[in-house]
Formats: sequence, structure tokens, C-alpha cells
Amino acid sequence: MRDLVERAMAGDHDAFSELTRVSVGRLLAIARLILHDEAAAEDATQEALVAAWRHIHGLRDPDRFEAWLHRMLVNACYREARRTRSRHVREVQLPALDLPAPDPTSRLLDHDQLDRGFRRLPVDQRAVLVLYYYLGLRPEEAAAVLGLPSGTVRSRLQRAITAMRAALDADARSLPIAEGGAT
Amino acid sequence: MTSRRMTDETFDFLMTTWLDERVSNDGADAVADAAISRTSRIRPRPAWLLTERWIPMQLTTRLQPVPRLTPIIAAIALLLALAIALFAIGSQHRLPPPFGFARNGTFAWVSNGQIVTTDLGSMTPTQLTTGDPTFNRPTFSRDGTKLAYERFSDADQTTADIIVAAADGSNAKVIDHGGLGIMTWSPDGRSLAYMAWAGTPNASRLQIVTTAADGSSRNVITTLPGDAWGPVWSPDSKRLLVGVDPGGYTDTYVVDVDGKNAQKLNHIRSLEGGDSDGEWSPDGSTILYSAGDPNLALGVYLVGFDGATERLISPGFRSAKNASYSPDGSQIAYMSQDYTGQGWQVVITDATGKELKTLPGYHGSNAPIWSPDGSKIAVIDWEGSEETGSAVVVVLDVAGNADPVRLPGGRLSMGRGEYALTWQRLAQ
Repeated sequence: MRDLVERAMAGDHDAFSELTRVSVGRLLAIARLILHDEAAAEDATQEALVAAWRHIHGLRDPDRFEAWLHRMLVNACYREARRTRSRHVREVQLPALDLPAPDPTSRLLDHDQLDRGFRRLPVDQRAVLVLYYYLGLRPEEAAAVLGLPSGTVRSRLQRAITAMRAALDADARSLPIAEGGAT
Repeated sequence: MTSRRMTDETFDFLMTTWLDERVSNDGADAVADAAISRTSRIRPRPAWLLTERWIPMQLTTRLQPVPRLTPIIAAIALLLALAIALFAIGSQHRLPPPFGFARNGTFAWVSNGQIVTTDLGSMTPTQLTTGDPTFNRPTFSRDGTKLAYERFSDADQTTADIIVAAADGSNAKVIDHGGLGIMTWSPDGRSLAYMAWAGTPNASRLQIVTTAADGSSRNVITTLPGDAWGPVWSPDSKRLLVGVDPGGYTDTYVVDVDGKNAQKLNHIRSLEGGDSDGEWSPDGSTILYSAGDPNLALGVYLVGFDGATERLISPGFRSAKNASYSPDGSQIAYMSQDYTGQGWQVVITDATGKELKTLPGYHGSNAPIWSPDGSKIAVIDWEGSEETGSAVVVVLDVAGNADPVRLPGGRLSMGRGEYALTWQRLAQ
């Protein structure tokens, strides 16, 4: 891997193509998780790889290629999210109904609730959740990927977790409906 | 508040399994083909196109004129000896002013999660803390007599005990729990301001706490419209400069210490989030801070309190942040990254932002720390990656007459090591 990165840094496009083949699956998976939009995820992944090639001379440490590429991808996801924001379905909450509490076990197993909660998060909070829970990065590692102070990432992570928990609780008490917007 | 809250472990497991199950690599080959096709037609390019007023506090001892009422020489000699003794005692307790040049004392930083000090003359490090390596962000009071720092109290390092000790590390006392550091001393040395989590478990947010140095008179500022970051005291110790993050960006505010009269100063947001790296000019008339988009370029700005638009003082074609006034306020140092993307350089300007020089060498992006006498600047270098490598403190000579001094470092507990350096001020 390091050899491929060093060759790519020297301008070897074949090496970069090989790196692209190796990395694209994970990049696309991350983009899909962050963006929840198939077309936008494919665009973001492609843009991240193009940006990586354009900026390959900016990579100082070959051993950090993967983290550096993740940073390119997250930035590309932010741009795609801004571009596609108007296309997303907006969800509104009906007033909470006075229903009996659902069975906690079934609620925990219902990933649809997580999905709805995740969609409501701003893209920067989705990104930090994906880096933390999917890639398994520690907050300071996620900070390096995002190019942010680690305190900022910890704050963002804490806020995202709090929002997800609150969304899960709210989901258990109310019924979301879709409103307006084309998909 | 629901009584059905799941445990942290359950939530972590749920998140991990849910994300893993949603992953699919379908279509990856097509994306790779498209990207390879596009990159084959383009060439790589460089990564980045991409005052002085101080309040004298020294204790002066004025000698009373010795009345020449008696010719007894022995009495005169005795008075003289007493005067010398009083002068010596007074000198030992003389304190530096909060602003303006001062004599360089010891230098404190974090090495492998412990607070370490050293004198640049002897270069012999002294470890002030022991035990679990979870200490961070030491900061000397401006009179050089006290040292505050944080000790993380949880595994995720999201909350910390706030500790105040004597400058030599003795008499350490926990004055608060549940803080998040980025603390600063009031210039009068009586109070601290720092960040802390506040609110309910489902709606916690970062707010600013002020306390007396002994932990009494604790007050939480709740009037700011978002997470509040990096409080910095005004020179008169009456107001605070705070970065406010309502959600994904940072505005720069000043607010009275009691939480009243919050005023937003900036027109350009920082999209980096969190702290705005703000600083007061020593005369309190101007604020220096960073703003912009980290994906494009951050800039260093000067802004006053009259509502006028901030003024960019760093070149628009470079990324710049973490600006800091020299002790006398006559110069500004900030970290700047040019289009080559080879790390960050220290740029020095006059108080208006006119560039004077760029110090040699590339470093981390952490804020440059001026020595109290204004002759040195400390920055952080990284050996290896910022996640796994070691931090080395590098002390640069502003005039360029001496080689850089490298202090033995180590792993910083907060990864990037922000705010991990502090320099003790002593009376000249």
C-alpha cells in the first residue's frame, strides 16, 4: 500500500488507479452512510477521488493516505449535502400522542427508528458518527480526518449521540410524516 | 424525561450493528472506473491553491528619609541594614504586570499526558503530575504565581476536573468537576473561565463557567445562543471573548462576566466549528480571531466593537489561523499555510497586520506562544502522524539569532495538543 501511495505521490497514475480500486468500496460505503442518497454518495466518492489525485502533492506522510482520503471524502460529502439539501424529504413531527410505552426490546431492534433519527441530523454530525461507530476511530483520530480540533469533534459527537437518543425516544412517542419536496 | 433510556453499551452496539448492516459495495466498480477515467485526463496540482497598556502591580518600597537628628552612627547603620532587608523581601514578592514585557519563567506543556515544566536555561524537565496520564492544558496566571490545568475524569476524555496549583505544582486543589478545559485566567489573577457541559443528559451543551481561583463564586453563563467555546478575559477582567457554535459554525461574541450584554462581533463565520481562536489586544480595543472555511482557506481577522466589518490581515491566498499578540501588543504572530501544503509557518506582523517576517521551518497548526520577554515563540512539531506520533515543543528565536530549541515531548493527551503550552511571567 505504501509503495502504491509513494508512486502515486510521484505522479504515477497507474498506482493511483490501483489505490482507487482498493479504496473505492469503503469510500462509497462511508458516503452512503453519511449522505443517505445513492446518487449523491456516488458523486461524492468520485469527487473525493478526483480531488485526491489533484491534491496528491499535498499529502506529506504516505502512511496517512487513508485518513487523508477519508478527509477528502467527508469534505466531498459536505459539498454534496449542500447541493442536494433541497431534494431531501423534510420530516415534521406530529404532536406526541398519549400512547402506552412500546416494548423496549422491539424498539431497540427496529433499525427504522435509527434511520429516521440519523436522517434528521445535520451532515457534520452524521459524519462524526460514521467515523466513530463505523470506522471505529477515536475522537482524536476522527479530528485528524476532519481537520478539526479534537475538542470540536468530541463536542460534535456528544451532540450527535444526544440527538440520536432524543430522536429514538421521540420516535417511540410520535409519528413522523413526509412533507413536500421531490426525491 | 423518559424512563426507557438505553444504556451507553446498548446504544453503542445498536449504532455499530445498524451502520454495518447498511453498508453495501454495489456500484463501487462503476464509481472507480469513472474516477480513474477523469483523473487520467488531469494532472495533480499543489494541495493548497488552493498596544500597549498595562497596570503596574509591582510592590514598591519607598525608603523614608532618615532623619538626621542624631549623630549616632550605629543607629544609621542599623536603619540602613533594615532598609536593605526590606528591599530584599520586597523584591522576592514582586509580581509582573498582566500585560507588557516580563521576564521569562518556566515553560509548561503536556508530555505523555503529564504536566511538565522546564527552564530553557537548564533544559531539565520537571514532571509536576503523576498517576494516570490524563492531564492537559496547563495555564499560568498572568502574575506567574499559579498554574491551572485539567485532569480528565472519564475514559472518553469529555469531562475534566479543573485543578489549581502553585506555579511549582504544589498545593494542587480540584476546584470543579465536569469541565472541558480551554481555560484562561482573568488578568487580575483572581478568577478562571473555562468550558463545561451543562444541562440535562438529553440536552447537554457547552457553556462557560467562571469561578474564583479557590473554586468559590461559581457562575454559569447561559445567555449565549449555542455551544460556547474558549473563553478569553478582557484586559480589565470584566468581559469574556467566546466562540459560539449554534450548529456547525462559530461566531465570535463578547459578553459581560455576569452573562449580560452578549454582542456578536463577526460578520464572517468560522466553519471550522468550536473555538474562534480569539484574543483581545492588550488595550482591549480590538479582537483578533480566525474565520473562514477550513476546506478552502481560514483567515486572521481584526474587529472592533463598533459593528464595522472585520478586516482580514492574512493574505487571501494562504490559510491562516491561531493568531496571538506579542506581550506588549506591538506585534501579532499567526500560523500560515501556503499553497505547497508543507505544514504551517509562523508569520509575524505589526499590530495593524502588516507582514514583517516569516520564521523559518514548518510546524503543526497549534497557536504560537510568545515568551513573556517577546524574544521567543513556542510551537509544536509532530514526529510521525498526529494520531500516533510524538509532539515536540520547538522554541523559535523571533530575531533569528539563535537556533530553534527542541524540548523533549511525547504523546499529547488531546491528540492535536491544542492549548497545551504556557509560559510563566516573572517580574523583570
